[in-house]
Amino acid sequence: MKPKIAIVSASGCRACETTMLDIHYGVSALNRWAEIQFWPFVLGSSMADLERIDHLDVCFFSGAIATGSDRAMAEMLRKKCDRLVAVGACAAYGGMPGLKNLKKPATAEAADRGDLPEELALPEQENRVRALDGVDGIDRVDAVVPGCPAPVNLVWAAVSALVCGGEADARITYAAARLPEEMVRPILSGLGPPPGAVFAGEKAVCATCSRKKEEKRFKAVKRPYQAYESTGRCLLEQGLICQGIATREGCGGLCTGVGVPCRGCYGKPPATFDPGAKMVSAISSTFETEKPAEIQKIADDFVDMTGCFYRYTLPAQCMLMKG
Amino acid sequence: MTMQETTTFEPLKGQDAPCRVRVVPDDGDQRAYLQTTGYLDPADLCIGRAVEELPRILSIRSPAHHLAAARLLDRLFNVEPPDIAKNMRNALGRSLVLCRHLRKLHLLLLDPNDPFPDHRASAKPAGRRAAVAHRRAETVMHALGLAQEAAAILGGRSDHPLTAIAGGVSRFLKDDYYQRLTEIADACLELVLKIEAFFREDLLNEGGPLHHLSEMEIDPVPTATATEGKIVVKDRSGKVVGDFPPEKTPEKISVRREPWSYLPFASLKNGAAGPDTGEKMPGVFLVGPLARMDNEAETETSETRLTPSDACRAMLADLIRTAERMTDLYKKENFVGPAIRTVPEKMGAEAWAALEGPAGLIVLGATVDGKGIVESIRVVDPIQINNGVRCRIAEAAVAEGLAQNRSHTDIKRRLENSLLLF
Ligand code: SF4
Ligand code: SF4
Ligand code: SF4
Repeated sequence: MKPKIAIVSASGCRACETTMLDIHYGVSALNRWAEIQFWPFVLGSSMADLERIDHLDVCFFSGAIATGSDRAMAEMLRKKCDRLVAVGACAAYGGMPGLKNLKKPATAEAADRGDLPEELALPEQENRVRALDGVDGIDRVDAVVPGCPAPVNLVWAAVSALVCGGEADARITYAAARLPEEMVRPILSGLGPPPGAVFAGEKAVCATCSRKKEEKRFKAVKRPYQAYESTGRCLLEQGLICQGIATREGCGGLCTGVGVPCRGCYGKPPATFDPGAKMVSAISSTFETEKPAEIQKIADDFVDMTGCFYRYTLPAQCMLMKG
Repeated sequence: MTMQETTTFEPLKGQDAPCRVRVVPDDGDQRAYLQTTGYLDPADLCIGRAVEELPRILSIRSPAHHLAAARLLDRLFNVEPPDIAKNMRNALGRSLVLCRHLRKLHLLLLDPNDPFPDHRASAKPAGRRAAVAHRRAETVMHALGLAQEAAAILGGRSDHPLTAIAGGVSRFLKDDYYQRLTEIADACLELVLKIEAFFREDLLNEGGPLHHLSEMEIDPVPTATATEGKIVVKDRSGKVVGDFPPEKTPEKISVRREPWSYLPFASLKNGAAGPDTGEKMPGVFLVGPLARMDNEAETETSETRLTPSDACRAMLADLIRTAERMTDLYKKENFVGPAIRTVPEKMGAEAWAALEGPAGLIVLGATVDGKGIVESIRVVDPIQINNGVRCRIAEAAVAEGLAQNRSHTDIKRRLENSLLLF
């Protein structure tokens, strides 16, 4: 019997969800392997439809939890689904919508609409944006495909491993090349990925970044609008805040490859506890000065550290903001 | 037929959830409300961030916001990008037009009951029909795949592009890409001509499965585009009735809500569109392919009615025009030169910029502190602007469906297909 799957998006930009449509084109009919039972964006499926479904094998969930309906859908899918997969930085870590948590929860907006009949009231906004596993009652996700957006090759690797079983091994070769050995072996043997598998690498972005590292130190922090070399050298060594060292590998250094610093959309690598702390340590060991005044100047030139170091991970990473 | 109790159409294919249309009985009549949430207020994400991060952050709203934000930075830092950077941004913009329109057309083609028919399984007429539908969807997706590849070459990524920065772009193109871009442009043009033909000849025509798009109508409204850095407003006949620079936006555009609207929508203030336009829906205006259409009738539209079918035809015309321009623009000589960026020397305190994105006019305004931290931001974009027209279209689709005694499913399908086009 074909596995029954659901594809949903909560609060995000929808790019991760539409990756599934791109896959469908890339591999022809996804329904050769799966029965798509619930997909609001494409099938117009409703919550009532979901209530009628007894059991689903896999759900690909993208977007963060920002409204009451996001939460209700996530809770129900966790109950009905064997494997809940967080697709993209929003679902996995809270993503960019999580930046909203830096602001005080607003209630004024709802009050402003008081003249509307009750049945037209705004859908309830959560007091905090959460990652999928930050919702009470969702203690785990079974797999994660990181990235903002999650790239087609890794989403396809996850679909092949979780939905297509042994039938599609050959197709994941490309993606598998970048996946850790411990994950690829069980997938290729047909047993499926280990619980909690992250469809990305295990090292940091620096490991696959094409930029040349010269072990040089920088003297001043640069902002990306200021002059820097457009090709060649490591951006951090030029004084640009690049988060490759505190970010899980899997994109191949996509941003740094086009001359733009990494902002951490794959989340932290397993060996890093806190990406912000890791960045502070990386920066302090890369700048070249011991004079207090110069150190102070460098510290002053950092702006918006929280919004930069936790750009995609604030809800998952900052414990005080989880509840 | 009138509805006796509140009826909800939810969720709607191709719309961001939670989006619904609620039909509420109103004194023997009914009122249809299009309800969407604006949970991602750009201010929540942008205030407090370093201003140079705006192109990356705002791309959450649409990939074209990346380019609009880069233009905002050019203005904030008072720099003019070198020609090749302008060409690369422009070329990226073209690929994004294709990506956006083709995605919409693909959704329009997917049958709500069985979007992925397994046509191999059946040789019956229904199976054959499904095979044709499937082939059409594949043609659209083939063109989309190519447009996404061009966007990835030019922008580093198709969905959240990366390369537009203050004063230019972040890198030169690799040698291999010049030839590839030319191939993509040629292939896209061939495919979009095919796509336009089957939409026009088989789907939108009388008897075609999308003919219902011409059955619901609203009064036409003024349109606005970003043209040469200014915001240009035209009346329903295509005559220019006003223009203003983006920094005048607060004086010319307000955010309003009407009894029929639910969410606020952007609205032209008095005088921004001349004295006598849009009397029935004061202030409501429209942006996007319909607004961009040259009024010497690239496609036939009426001055007295506006239908989703017009919007669809305008989108198809826009697709062809964009693909044709791509074949001129995607040439090596447009992407080679001595510099890709002008490095800024000083930062201003406030800037405004307007860009014609795939879905229509995007206006951005921001103020920053001395360290370049965003203190305030104003975003006027198609999501907010077209809300006014979308609300009226939702009303028209429900009214037409009820007048024809259509089923809940049928009305929902008509709502979904028409809303997709604005
Ligand atoms: S992770 Fe990024 S691409 Fe995916 S839904 Fe969130 S904002 Fe969009
Ligand atoms: S710090 Fe950034 S630029 Fe440097 S090697 Fe790591 S990822 Fe590449
Ligand atoms: S370089 Fe960093 S920000 Fe860019 S795609 Fe890779 S992980 Fe994401």
